[in-house]
Amino acid sequence: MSPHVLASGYSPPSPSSFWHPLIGEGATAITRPMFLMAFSVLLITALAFVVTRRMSLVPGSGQFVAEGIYTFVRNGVARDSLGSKEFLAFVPLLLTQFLLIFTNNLFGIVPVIQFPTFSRYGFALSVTLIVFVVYHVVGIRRKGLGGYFRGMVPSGLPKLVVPVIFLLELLTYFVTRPLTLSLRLFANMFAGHILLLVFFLGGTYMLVEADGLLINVASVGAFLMGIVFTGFELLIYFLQAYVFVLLSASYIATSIADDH
Amino acid sequence: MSASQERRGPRAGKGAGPGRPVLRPAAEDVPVRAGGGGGDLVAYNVLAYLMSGLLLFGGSGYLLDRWLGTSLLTLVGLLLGMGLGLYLVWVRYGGRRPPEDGGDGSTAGGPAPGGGSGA
Repeated sequence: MSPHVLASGYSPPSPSSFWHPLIGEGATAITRPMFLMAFSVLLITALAFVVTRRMSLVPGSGQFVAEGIYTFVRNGVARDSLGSKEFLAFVPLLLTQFLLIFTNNLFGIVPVIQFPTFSRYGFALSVTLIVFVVYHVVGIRRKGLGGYFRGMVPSGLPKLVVPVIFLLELLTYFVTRPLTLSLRLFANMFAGHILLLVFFLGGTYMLVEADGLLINVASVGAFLMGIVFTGFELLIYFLQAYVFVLLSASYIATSIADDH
Repeated sequence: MSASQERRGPRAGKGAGPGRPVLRPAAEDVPVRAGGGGGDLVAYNVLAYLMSGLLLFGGSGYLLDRWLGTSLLTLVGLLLGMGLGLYLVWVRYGGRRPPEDGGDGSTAGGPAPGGGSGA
C-alpha cells in the first residue's frame, strides 16, 4: 500500500473508537456502553423469567440451554473449585457474573450493537471489585482478621522468609489478583474489538475509498479475515467469561480453605 | 474446559433418559473436594505470584535507586523478586504435599490426578 493511500483520509481504529458518549460529555457523560450494560441486565432478567416460567420434566429448548448453562457454572466451576461442602452459597454470584460477562461480551458481534461492554476498563474493574470484596469478607468471616492474614503464608516455611513471603502474598491478594483479573477481561475485549475494526474498517476503506483495482479486490481478503476472526472472537468471549468466574471461584476457595 | 465438561458429563442429569426427572439435585452425594478447577488456574495464579515478586522488589529497588542515587538496586530487586516469586510458586504448587493429602488423593481426586485423567 503506497503512503498516499494511507494519507488520504483513512483513520485506523484507536482507543478513541471506544468512546461513545450519548448524553453530556467528558467524565460525566452517559455513554453507549452504560446503556448496553443496563440493557444486558434487562435482557438476562427477561430471558431468565421466560425460560424458567414453565419448567417441565422434559425440558423444552429454552429450558435445556438454561439448565446447561446453570449446570456448567454450578458443577463445572463452583463445585469443582469450592468443593461440594461450600459451593452452593456462591453459585448465584458466579452464575450472575458469568451471564453478565458473557452477554456483554457477545454484544461485540451482535449486529447493530457491535460493542463488547467490557472493552471499557471501568466495567471490568467494577465486576472485579465485587469479587475482591467477596473473597476478603468471606475469608475474614471464616478465619477472623488475624487468622485470615496468617493463613496467607503457607505453613512450614523457614522463619527467615516468612515476612518476605507475607509481603508478597499481601500484594498478590490486594493488588495483583484484582489487577490481573480485571485487566485480562478488559484487554481481551479491547484487543478483540480493535482486531475486528481493523479488518472491517480497513476492508471497507480498501473497497470503497481507495483507488486502484488491485486494492479494491484485495479488500476481499480483509473481509474474509474479519469473518474468521468474528468466529474466533466468539470463542474468546466465552472463554473470558469462563476464566473470570473460574478465577473468582478459586480466589474464594483459597480464602475459605482451612489448610496453609 | 473440555476436561471439566467431560468429567461432569455423566452426572449432569441431561443424559438421564426421557423418563427420569431432570431437575434432581445434581450429584449432591458425590463429594467433590475444593481446588479441582483445572490446570489453567495454576498458570494464572503462578503469573500473579511472579508479578507480585517483580513489582514488590523491583519497585522497592527502583525507589531505593532514586533515593540513594545508585543504579544497581532495581536489577537486584527484580532478580530477588523473581527468585522469591518462583520460590513461593514452588512452595505452593511444587511437589511437596502434606502426607494426609496424598493419602486420600486417590479417591477424591486432587488437582493433579484430576487434570491428568481429563487430558
